[in-house]
Amino acid sequence: MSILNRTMDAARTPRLWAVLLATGLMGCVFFESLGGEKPFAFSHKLHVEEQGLECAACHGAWETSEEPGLPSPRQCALCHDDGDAEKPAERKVATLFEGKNYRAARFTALGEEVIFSHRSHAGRAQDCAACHAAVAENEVPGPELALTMDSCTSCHEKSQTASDCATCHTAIRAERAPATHGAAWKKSHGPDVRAQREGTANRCDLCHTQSSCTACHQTEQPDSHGPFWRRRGHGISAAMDRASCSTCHPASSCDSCHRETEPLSHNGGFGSPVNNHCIGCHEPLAEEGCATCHGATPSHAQATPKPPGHLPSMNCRMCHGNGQPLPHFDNGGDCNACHL
Amino acid sequence: MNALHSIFHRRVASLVFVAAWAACTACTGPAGRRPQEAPRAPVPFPSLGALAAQDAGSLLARDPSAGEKPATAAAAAAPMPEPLLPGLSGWSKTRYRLRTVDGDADHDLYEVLGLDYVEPTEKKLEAHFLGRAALDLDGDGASQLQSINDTGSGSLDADLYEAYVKRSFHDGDWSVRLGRASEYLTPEVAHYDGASFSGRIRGAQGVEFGAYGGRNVVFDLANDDDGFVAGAFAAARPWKGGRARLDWMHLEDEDLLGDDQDDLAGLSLWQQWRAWSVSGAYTRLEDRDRDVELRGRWSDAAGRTSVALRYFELLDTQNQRALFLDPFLQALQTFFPYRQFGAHALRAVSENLDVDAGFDVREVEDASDVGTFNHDWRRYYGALTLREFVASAFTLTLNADYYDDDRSDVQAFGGSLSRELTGGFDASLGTYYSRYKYDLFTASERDDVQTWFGKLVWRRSQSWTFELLYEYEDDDLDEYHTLRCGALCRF
Repeated sequence: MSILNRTMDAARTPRLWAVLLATGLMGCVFFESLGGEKPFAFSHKLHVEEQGLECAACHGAWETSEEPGLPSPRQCALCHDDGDAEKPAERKVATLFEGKNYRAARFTALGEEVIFSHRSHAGRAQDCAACHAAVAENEVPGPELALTMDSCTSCHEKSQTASDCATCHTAIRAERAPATHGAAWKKSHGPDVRAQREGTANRCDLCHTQSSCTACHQTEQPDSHGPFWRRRGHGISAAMDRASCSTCHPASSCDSCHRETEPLSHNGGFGSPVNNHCIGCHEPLAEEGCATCHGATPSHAQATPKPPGHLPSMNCRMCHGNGQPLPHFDNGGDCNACHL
Repeated sequence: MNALHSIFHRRVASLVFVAAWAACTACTGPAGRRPQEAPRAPVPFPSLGALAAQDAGSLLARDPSAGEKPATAAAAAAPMPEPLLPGLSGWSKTRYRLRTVDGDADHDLYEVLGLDYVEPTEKKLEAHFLGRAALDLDGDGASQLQSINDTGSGSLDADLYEAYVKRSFHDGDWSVRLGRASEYLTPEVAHYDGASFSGRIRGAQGVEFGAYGGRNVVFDLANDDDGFVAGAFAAARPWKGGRARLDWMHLEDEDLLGDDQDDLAGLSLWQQWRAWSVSGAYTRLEDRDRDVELRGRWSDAAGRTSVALRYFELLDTQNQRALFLDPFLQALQTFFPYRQFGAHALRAVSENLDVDAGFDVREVEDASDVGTFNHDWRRYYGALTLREFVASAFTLTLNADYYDDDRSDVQAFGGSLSRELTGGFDASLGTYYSRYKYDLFTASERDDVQTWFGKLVWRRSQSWTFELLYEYEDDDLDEYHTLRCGALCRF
């Protein structure tokens, strides 16, 4: 076997992939834990907690504008001019600006789709931390500063303000799938539903009732379940991957049809060499006619009873057959099913 | 409980369903409609969201309670009808299907009705109903047209999926539910006639707990009187970004081969870590390990790229079990331990192009267990969606799927072209081809299935959607024609 073939075979081994997955995740965690030198960035913790600055000192438009505003180079210079003179260029406050604009990413930006006015919300909460709780401990602005829908809904709930979709969103509606429900959603939504991830935005019941699960998994059939599928294809697929059937079907689904409908490809050899696949439906054999599977064969009900002293637990092969085939027994059948 | 269960017996379910549907039909009408505030101008969603709205599956097959993509601006702005009662909403989906093959025909009528009631002032009382009826209009039809709906004793086959009332207490922290309901978050989905209780403790730990129990409900089976399911769960968020859930289920049934009683315990853990979501689940059946699953998914911040990985291992041989745990034993025999790994990646290459691809590899643990119904196999699949195709007029969808094991393989390729028309119409044409190659008997059987379809969907308003579908299937057995028309009404 060539190296290429051996490599291909190894790549087909699920356990190898699992080991690679686990190793990769642990590697990410390890490198993350190494940390590294903190980047030069604005520290809310230093300015708010330790220096005692008011939020309004930098976000001057918090009460008067739709956006709270960001500090200008001149505002920072009021305190930093003296200290920065002796610092290397890359540690000067000026590096945080591009012209007069603050360069940092707006982690609290809500996006164009969200309707929000900082001015109209200003003063309604006791303090800024009601919405910006993460600011006090923040040393480097990052995604943790982002506002969550929970902080919006909890206030709206307490103040009995309208909290329907249209209050805050221009596009998101119960009638429209959100961006997360993209092309991969059909394949991935099951684990997501079970995960019940934290946050209002992840709550399925914002738009769906529990019957949504049933409406698709029980009342609809996939496009693939066409005429051929019904007659033959489903058996081939179920034999390959029965786990996928159980997404919608209980075990009784097979019996509902197969107890009344003879399989299209039905003969006595089906499922050989251990053809107990037949016995799944034709059971017990003693009550079935042999002709069900084997034409012109007498009924099993006419099989001679076991002689006295022959217990069901005995191994028939010990005395019978003399090395010759015992058709039913050798195929997994039980002699006691007919020879009572 | 027996009395409650008997109320929902299959035949009685038919009458309950028909009565509920008739009542709703009688009550719906143009009277009593009220205008609502017109929606604000929509902002386009990212491309993945747009793709979801143009899913290759039936537009009527999507969750009707959550609505559809909006029709034209005029239709989207049209008012929803006033509810029959304050707090009552629902949907009704009616379909007629004609199938013909080789001179035979089969006419079927399907109706699904969903009703949701939430007491409008305090929202403490809820009631939900979901049922489906299939009516064979002309008897059972030719054998090659029979389906699982024809296995009942009459021409009307009805299933009652949900019929329960739910009462909440203490600002929704506690709730009690009574009636026919389902548990979807448990290790195995359970449908039952009975009662459940759930509670939560507010706080950062997010503690939730509950219990449920009742008679098993088995759809698609005439006799489902001898089962019982009970269970309890507890869940919490004990650490940052993480969640844990513990389940116990007890299942009984005397339906198939005898008296089966099984206890299933499950532990699930989830962790959100930066752009990664990872989870693990383990279940134990009676005194033996049953299965273990690991999942990981990475998504970029914009949600335009995601990679999902999954590892699953069935740890113990599965034979006869209570029905919800049964590994299709009667038809497929013993289910032997196996391992499976899968990966799936999705990339929105541009605003108009999405590509997704993945593979799964399964390996039966012990090579001597490989047989007719336990396989090693590989599966590869992929799909491509191109919007604004040919002068911005069409959406093109292509997909491919390939299963392969050492004894058989199944290949499927498909493509469709759809176009959104004026007046709320969507039209699509497409074809898909499947080839089944297998060796159950002669080691050389092969079937080729080619299907062509045309579909027209009309979203007349937020309340009404209509669908017309024609499908032609040509396979090695026969040629089939299917005509389907349907209406979805939300109220």
